[in-house]
Amino acid sequence: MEKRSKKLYRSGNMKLKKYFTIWLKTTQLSLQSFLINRQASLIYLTGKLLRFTVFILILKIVASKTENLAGFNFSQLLNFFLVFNLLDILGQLFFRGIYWFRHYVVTGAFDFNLVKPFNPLFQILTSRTDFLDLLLLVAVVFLLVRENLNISLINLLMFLLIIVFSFLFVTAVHILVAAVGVATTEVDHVIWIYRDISHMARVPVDIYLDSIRAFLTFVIPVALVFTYPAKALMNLLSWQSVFFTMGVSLVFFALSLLGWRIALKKYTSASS
Amino acid sequence: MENRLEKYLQIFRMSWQNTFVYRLSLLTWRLRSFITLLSLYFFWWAVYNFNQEIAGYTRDVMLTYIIGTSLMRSLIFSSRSNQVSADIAQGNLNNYLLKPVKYFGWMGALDLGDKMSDVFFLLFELILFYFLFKPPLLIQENFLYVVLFLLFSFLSMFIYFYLSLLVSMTAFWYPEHNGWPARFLFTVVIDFLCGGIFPLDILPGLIFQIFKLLPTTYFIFYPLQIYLGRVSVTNILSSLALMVFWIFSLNFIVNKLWKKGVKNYTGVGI
Repeated sequence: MEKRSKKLYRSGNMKLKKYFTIWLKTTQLSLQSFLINRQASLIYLTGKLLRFTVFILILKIVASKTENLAGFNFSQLLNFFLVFNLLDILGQLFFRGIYWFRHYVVTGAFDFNLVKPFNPLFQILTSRTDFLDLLLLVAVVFLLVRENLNISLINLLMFLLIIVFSFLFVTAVHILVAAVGVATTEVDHVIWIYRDISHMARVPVDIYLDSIRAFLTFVIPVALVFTYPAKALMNLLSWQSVFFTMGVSLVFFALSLLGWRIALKKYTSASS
Repeated sequence: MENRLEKYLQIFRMSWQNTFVYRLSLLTWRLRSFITLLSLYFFWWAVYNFNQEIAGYTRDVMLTYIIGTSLMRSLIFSSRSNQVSADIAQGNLNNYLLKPVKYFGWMGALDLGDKMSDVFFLLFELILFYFLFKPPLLIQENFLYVVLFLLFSFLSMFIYFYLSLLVSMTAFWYPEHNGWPARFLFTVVIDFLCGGIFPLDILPGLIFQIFKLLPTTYFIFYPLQIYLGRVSVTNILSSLALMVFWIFSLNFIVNKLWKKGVKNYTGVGI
């Protein structure tokens, strides 16, 4: 029995090592591409930084021109925006490959992923690592730390716990988009629809009407994923909400994997 | 003359028909546009739940402005001129240079088809939006303001067309990524400077005064200010002069650069 579990542990470890090596390789290639197209990378980066700064400026203006925004001050609004960006950037940094997936499906090139001896879903999602987002991530983390220097240990732990499950939800969304891509060849707009909806959580969802807030909490739960971690950071969240988010993320993740398996069975290898 | 026009009319029809080829893509695209409107609308609705007035804008005026931005986006930013950079970078421009058509005319006709289809669908979405949420819309009763709004919107289309062509033409000298990096930066900058997220006059005075001189102000902010009756007739006249100046200047620069660019063009990728 002990021998068997050791064997399983070793094989699991080897699998993990294999996938890490593959990810490292694709990341190296992405870095090379980033460095070769230096000018293009610089322009993209400028655009991303500009967009990020402009939204902070908008928040600042709105906060200064209004007497009250659902009881949140500028510093709190900034926290919500930074946490939103943290998760959004992590999703793009690791799962950038989804934006190229449609091409693989419509040309039939996805066949080549299927015959390789490692998980095709892993190949699709991690086929590119976006280094442009890495620099933005550094800026976001720096600002988050600066804004929350006085955070208590319990709130920090709560934040770290919920952020892991929020990222699980983000992963699930990318898996679902890939599944939709296989089933319908429509990827580009679907991922953007998710991003458009998630943009509503750049500000705390508490400011919205009850019906909109309910939609963003229970139907497409971007409130749980983006607003709740920020609340945890600011001591505005209960443990029940943390557990609820964890549960929802787990269920969503399981459903996304199921969706992926069903979609894969329907893959027709068009154009190949 | 009639024959010449017929050519471009045919291109316009082609552009219109193209919209309906990939129906699922069209549906999801429209859904995105609707979500963008909802997102902005409910953000500002929420802001006004806690405030009576912001920088001289009451709830009704601001929400009319926000709904108006979606119409202006369809009218101004629906464009095929972004395709020009890919044509240059991939060598497809050869096809057009050999044809007995003017490339800008071709693009203009495609642009118009795109705008028409976008506005067509948007109108349905706005009707749906109206019945679902009953927004407090302000209807401009002064006919002159409505006419001026239409005139400014029409002229803005030219400014955007030329500005967008200029951005695309950078691909003559910098064809990397099909000219997409310059387009990306352009989109980010425009998004802020056009007043599509908030009316520009809530910005600090000096910044707003500088923005007023830029052509981007006329894409969304200024026509909607006219519609809402927030500008005086003298201001409208001086702005009209500035707009005409921008159209002629941009037209001149685009033609100059195009000639230089075509000389530089090697048809790489064909």
